[in-house]
Amino acid sequence: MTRRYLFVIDRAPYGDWSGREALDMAFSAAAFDQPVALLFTGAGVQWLRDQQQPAAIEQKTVSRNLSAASLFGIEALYADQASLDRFKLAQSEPSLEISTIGSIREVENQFTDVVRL
Amino acid sequence: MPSRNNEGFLKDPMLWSPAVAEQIASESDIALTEAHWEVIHMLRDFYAEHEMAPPAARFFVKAVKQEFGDEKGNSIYLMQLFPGTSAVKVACRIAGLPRPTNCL
Repeated sequence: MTRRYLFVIDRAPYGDWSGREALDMAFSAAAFDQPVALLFTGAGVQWLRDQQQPAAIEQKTVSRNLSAASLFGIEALYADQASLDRFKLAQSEPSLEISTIGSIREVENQFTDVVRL
Repeated sequence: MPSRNNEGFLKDPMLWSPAVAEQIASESDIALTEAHWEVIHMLRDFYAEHEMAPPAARFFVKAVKQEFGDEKGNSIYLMQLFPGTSAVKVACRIAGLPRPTNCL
């Protein structure tokens, strides 16, 4: 059976390394041609926000890193509508193609492995 | 020559110049041609857009393929241009970019 990986990012960027590690794992899996997608939920939707300016804390812009995801073969970037509303994310990074979803469970059911760091 | 890490990568990509590229390339006995420069500039553009270098050899190939097509977007062509243990590492070093993270 083909395994399909969904990495869930549910914390805001820059506070800790968990999301960055999830992204590295997702890119690594994609490099081995594994089906991979990312799901942003809760404070994790802050990853998608436009106009992030983390240079002051000497970090790279996560949304700009994410904009390479489709080129690398990541199937989809999911975000749930409730979290987008809660964090008032009207404007996401323009280069990101985000699939907005209603039910997290429904998306999770499409994957054999759901990874939360 | 701007300061570099123990693997020869520039610490600050902003301090790169074509002259720096020539010098780093010469350390690996690579004489830069037009074919090298187009890949070097593509990598620098990629870095400017995504704030990262392609994090795996396969992604390097994919990025080149997207820009220049199949004829150049293949590992044999890129390994000939940038010979060494890893074409993407050699190319990033010459392009003045940080060592690709998580480089598989």
